[in-house]
Amino acid sequence: MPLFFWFELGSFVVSILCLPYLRRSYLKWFPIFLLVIVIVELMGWYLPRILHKHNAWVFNFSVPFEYLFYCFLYSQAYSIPHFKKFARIVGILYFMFCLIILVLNSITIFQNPILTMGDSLAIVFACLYFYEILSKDEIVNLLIAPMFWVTCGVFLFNLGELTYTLFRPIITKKRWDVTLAVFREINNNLIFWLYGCITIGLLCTRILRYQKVSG
Amino acid sequence: MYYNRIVMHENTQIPESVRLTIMVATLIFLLLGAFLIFFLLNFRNSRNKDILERENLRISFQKTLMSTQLEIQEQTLKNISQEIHDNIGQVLSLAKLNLATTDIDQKEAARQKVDDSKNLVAKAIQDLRDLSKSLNTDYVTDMGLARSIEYELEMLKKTGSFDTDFEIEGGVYKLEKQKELILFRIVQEVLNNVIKHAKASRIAIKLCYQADHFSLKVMDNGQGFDLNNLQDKQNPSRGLGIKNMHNRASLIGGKFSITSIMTEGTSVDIRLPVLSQIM
Repeated sequence: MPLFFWFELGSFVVSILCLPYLRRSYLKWFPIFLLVIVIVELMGWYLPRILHKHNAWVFNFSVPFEYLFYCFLYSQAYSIPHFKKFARIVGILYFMFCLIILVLNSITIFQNPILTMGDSLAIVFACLYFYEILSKDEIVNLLIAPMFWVTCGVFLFNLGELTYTLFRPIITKKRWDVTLAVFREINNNLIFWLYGCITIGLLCTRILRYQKVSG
Repeated sequence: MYYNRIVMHENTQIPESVRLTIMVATLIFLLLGAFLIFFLLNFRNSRNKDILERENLRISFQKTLMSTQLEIQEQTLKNISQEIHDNIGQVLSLAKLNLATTDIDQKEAARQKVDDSKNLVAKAIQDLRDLSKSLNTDYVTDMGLARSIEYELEMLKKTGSFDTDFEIEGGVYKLEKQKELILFRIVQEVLNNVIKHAKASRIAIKLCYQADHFSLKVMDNGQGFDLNNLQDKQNPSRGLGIKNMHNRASLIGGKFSITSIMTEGTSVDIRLPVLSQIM
């Protein structure tokens, strides 16, 4: 298994260990999310290598799941009601968009628009979150705010990925990078950042709990 | 996550220049993103500092307000004790003496003494009424700043040691409760200083209610003093009262200034912007 898989697995283990501290917040859904990611990763690895089958369909389902999870996460994380509403509506629209794309196209071919749209939405969500914490009129220690770390991960991961997905129509047309080597190079490195940030964010819940208990 | 995609059996390779372009573009995007996060952290830190400073200022304002209220109460009690001892006590003693020395056999003289005693008791009652007003600790808020200051001057005039003059310019409006309280306390402190040190015979106070600002001036015709002497290193408590008044005025956003000319008198000015505070 590649190294980034162990990173994802590590993140999942940390989320299980932090479960007592996550229970009362919307972050409690992270263990389930990370479990799905780990299973998808395993399937994505085994299908072509062991069973010699296409794995694109797995990602056609896991990508919408991932971004719908972000929609849910930010609809809970925002404190400005308009932003909450925006995340909910965007979530519904994105779900419908994915459904249409998958119905109209083949499931066995990876659908790039789903990923591009997801990347763009995640960046918008992250920017709105940054705006919200910038405008808060109270003392906020960002370095121990779980959602700040999660957002940093989501923001940079999707920003990096978006560059490639924006180039993708040209790359596909010219039949460059058919094996997706460049994409994997970018994506696999960004995975360390994303799951590293998520892990730090989850660990921050322990610090926050400790601070609350110690007054 | 993901994208360990099935390896396709084609040898089409991405040109190095395209690969480099994508990589550089990705790197630029990531650097911009990282810069944004760095900016966010810095901005949030400075905002946190601002909020902390504002909070500290608010706490110090509340503390000063409380100490001001306590000082006003203390000053009021001191005035009352002095008033009871010097005035009401004397008047009632005189009334008692009158009644004790009344000879009921001498009807005319006795009637005169009873009348005198009645007048003395009436005066004592009036003085007690005046005092009861002062006993209400909220009297500054209830009466308003202008009336409270006028009342202080009336009390000073009653002592017979000072001529007083009170003037109001412009239409009177209420300032915020806390601001009025702090301004009143400053005036009380200035008046105390005049009584103790100025050797003045005349005290004048002028209040100026303008649309954009409020100003207050306390003037006396006393001996004046050298402002430079206030910074006496050997006696650090010297000038502390003035510094205190200056700090209090700053706390409510006012400007405090003092001018003094030897043998001619002293003038204390406080100027306060009002804007939306007119109620």
